[in-house]
Amino acid sequence: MKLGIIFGGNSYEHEISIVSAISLKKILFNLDIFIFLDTDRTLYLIPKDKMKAKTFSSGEYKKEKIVTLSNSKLLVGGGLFKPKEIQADIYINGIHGQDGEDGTFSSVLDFYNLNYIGPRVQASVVSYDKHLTKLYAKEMGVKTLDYVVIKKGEDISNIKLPFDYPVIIKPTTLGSSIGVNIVESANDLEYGLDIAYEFGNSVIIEPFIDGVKEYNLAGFRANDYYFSMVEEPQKAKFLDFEKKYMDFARTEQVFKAQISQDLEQKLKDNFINIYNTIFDGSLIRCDFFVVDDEVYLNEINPIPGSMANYLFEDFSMAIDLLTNYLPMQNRIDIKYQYIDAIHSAKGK
Amino acid sequence: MAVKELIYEGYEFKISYSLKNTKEKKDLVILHGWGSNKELMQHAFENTFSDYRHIYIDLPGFGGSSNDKMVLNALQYSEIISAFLKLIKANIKIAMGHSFGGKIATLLFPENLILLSSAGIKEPKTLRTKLKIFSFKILKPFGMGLFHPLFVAKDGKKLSKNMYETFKLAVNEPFEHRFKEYVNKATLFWGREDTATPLSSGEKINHLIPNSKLYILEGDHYFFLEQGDLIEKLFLQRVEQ
Repeated sequence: MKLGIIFGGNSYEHEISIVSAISLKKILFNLDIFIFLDTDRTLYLIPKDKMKAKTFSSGEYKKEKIVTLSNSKLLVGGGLFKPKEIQADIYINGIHGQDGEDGTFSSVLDFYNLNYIGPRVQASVVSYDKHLTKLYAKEMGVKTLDYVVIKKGEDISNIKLPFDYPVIIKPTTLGSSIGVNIVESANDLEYGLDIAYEFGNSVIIEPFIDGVKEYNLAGFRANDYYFSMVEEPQKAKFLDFEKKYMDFARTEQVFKAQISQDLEQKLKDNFINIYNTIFDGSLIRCDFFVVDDEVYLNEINPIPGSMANYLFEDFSMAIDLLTNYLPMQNRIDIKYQYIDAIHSAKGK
Repeated sequence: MAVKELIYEGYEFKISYSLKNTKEKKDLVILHGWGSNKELMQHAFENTFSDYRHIYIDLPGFGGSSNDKMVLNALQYSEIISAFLKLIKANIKIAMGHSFGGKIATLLFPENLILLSSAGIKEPKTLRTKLKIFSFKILKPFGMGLFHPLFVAKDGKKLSKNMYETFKLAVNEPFEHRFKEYVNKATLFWGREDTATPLSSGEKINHLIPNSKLYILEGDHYFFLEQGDLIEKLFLQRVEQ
């Protein structure tokens, strides 16, 4: 089974995606094909030995071959010569944030009938927008923290939050910690909103619980559910963008959570409720809070940094398992019975 | 970084800004020079003037603030900045500006004005030379290393048409009378080795502003980068006099 990865994208998390792809190269021995999506949405085939951060930051990737899509395959070359098919059986959608996690590239892969690991469109819809995540989680019986959604231009002069300060403000549709900030008092609310508005027109405000217990659990559904260890992420006040960025580059040094079997089971049950069948085909990481023994979903990462490989004992095996359980496109056999029936009725 | 949008003369501007010491009630607004940005100013001053809330702004057309179409003169710049300050309900006690930002700070007519190697005095140089100076020469001496990506980007690239016209206005518009009209307290700081806005300009401005004092420090056009503490100390001494 030969794997390929598509990474980059027109996204604030473009660079994180590059770092992720490079770290996966070191871990997945059968990952051989590297396809870079630049911010102009051109795809390039990057030779394995050029999978270094500098290839991208220097713009050298532009010298590489351009990739085009065709039914069930990716191609390079063309012009006078016959385009060559890229030999990968399954692609990992490794584009973080916009273009990747928002469902854009999933749609492209589905449209071209390519096999891939990653969230399908519905999964992207419910995980990319934090407001929709809340609504979905509620429907699936998973608790989340209280929240308020505010849109740019909304009058906030008389706003009363249904919870106390400090609060945490997040752009509604971004992953990582970009634009996320903590506001200590009503006085600083407007500034906090302006910070988040730089990255989108809608923000979500939640209570900020200092020192809250945080647990991350990755996994997927094959025949059965397959889980990673539970991680208790290290945190300063909260993981800012840079720290999370560093986080993506790591390949070891995980902080295994010291929790009861009971709590571990609770986290898994919540994970299963979220995963449902919507997330089939993807390896996701759910980040949870635990307050007074209650589990709350913080966010769903349908394309976690470096595929959360560091949480799995045998990551290669996990990926092998998942590749046998990818949703297939349903090819509809059109028989033209209806049109034929009309024609014969009209006697033509 | 944070962003506010405002409409000025029918155009929408995105103003990128950041605040420091948000609990303080008196405001200090700090404006950067041509081709620079708020991060540079913040680096120089964030640990000074701790009794003030700092407001760092990217001028339209620089850093994270947009100016796609308009050709702006200094007065229009100052009106946009005023409109922005009104939006965030600022209570400006001090306006500080470096180089081109010095002109805009002057036009804000604050209680206290701090000028760092301010522009505003016409020097007998050709426009081409000035553009060269502003774009390249003055950026070199203080290290392309750490700050390079922060503020050279815009200059390394070609200026857009409207920003080129804006630049021509910036170096050619008469401004001496604006200094004369500023009657509140002004404190001027200059780098002795400044070649972009030479010390002679500082002396002229010091002469034009009725209530002004000039301090000459070591360094070039960017003398203030490592001397925020000294600037704060000298300013407070003068204000308390």
